[in-house]
Amino acid sequence: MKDSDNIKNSLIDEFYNESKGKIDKNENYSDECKEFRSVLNSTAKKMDLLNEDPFDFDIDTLRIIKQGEFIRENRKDNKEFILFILSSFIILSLYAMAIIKIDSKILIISQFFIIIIAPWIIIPISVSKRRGSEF
Amino acid sequence: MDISNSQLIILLSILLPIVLIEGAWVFRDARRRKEKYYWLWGIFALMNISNLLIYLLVTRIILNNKKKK
Repeated sequence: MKDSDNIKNSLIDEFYNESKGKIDKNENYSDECKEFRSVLNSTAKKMDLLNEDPFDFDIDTLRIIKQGEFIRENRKDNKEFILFILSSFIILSLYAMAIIKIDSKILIISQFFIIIIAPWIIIPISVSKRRGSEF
Repeated sequence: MDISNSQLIILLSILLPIVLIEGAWVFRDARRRKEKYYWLWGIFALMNISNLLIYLLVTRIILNNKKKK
């Protein structure tokens, strides 16, 4: 190891109060030592910035997670709704084409079944479902 | 009673958007109320305008009484 490296190591030890008196008095006040000491001081000042806590802020992670879930659910709901609109459009188009191309009586017969028979099926089922959940 | 094609088309072009809007509303409402078969309710409402009344009767009166108890 060179003498200059030994001196530098001694200066570093002295800077961090690990050992004193290793450097000759003549070399201690030389220009190179002064320059190196100033480099050590400026480096120490720069590193002091890391002693401050830059992360001193509150993050409500639970709220952020809930928000993310809410956004995801919303997107899923919107996709499902669009899918429902498309399938409804297809069903109604097929129904309309059947009425126009085949016979307009299909409209009357199908609506008769839907208006008269559907309530007699759905309402008893929902009442029995209600009674079933009560017991 | 015979309906001409043009009259039929006019009638359907008026009724179909109405039932489509009705079906969409019922679908969203049933899903919001956490009904198990919200898809079926939506398609059921597409079939006829009066089906909306059946949906409201079932969800607002019949099943609502169940939830209150």
